[in-house]
Amino acid sequence: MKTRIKELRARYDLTQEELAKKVGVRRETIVFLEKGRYNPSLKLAYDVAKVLKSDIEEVFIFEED
Amino acid sequence: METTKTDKIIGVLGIFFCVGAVALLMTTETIDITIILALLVAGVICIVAGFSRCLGYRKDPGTDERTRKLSAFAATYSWFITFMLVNILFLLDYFGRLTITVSQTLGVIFFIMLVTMFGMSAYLKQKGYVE
Repeated sequence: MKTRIKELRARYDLTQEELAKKVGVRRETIVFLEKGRYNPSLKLAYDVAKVLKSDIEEVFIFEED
Repeated sequence: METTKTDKIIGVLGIFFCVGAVALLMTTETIDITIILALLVAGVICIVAGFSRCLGYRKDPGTDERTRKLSAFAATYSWFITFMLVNILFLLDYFGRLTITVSQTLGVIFFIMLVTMFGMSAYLKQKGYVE
């Protein structure tokens, strides 16, 4: 899974800490999300997309094997 | 993040453990000191864990979905390892390879439970995720 969190975060001038606080998770979780090493729940994906003013499909890019 | 009701319950439970340990120490002469020490340690852990947010040590959300998942996996692995150990101890005792008292068995099990739980938890947190 790839994500555009870093790019969108930069667009809205948000730090990892600020984004984590807004969606109610730890900063480390945002780090792992950005690296594409953690598959979030639907709720977390929705919350992140909402904070980044985007659709879930724009933020999280799932690649089929 | 504010102190939750669960945190307060854990903290109060810790106080009860500590008070209970001191009361046992003062009223009972024959009780094993290990039990009192175990109660005291459990009490201190509960107090620190329960009231850490009140004291301002945990500014971040204590847990999120990723850490809860990691903890659940760590607990599962710990349970499995402990279960295997209990079976091994039983077999050793059954075939007369090891003579071990009930207290020693409980001590070993508690120790292994704690070590495997913290060990797996630390390993998974370092890894960062589980699938």
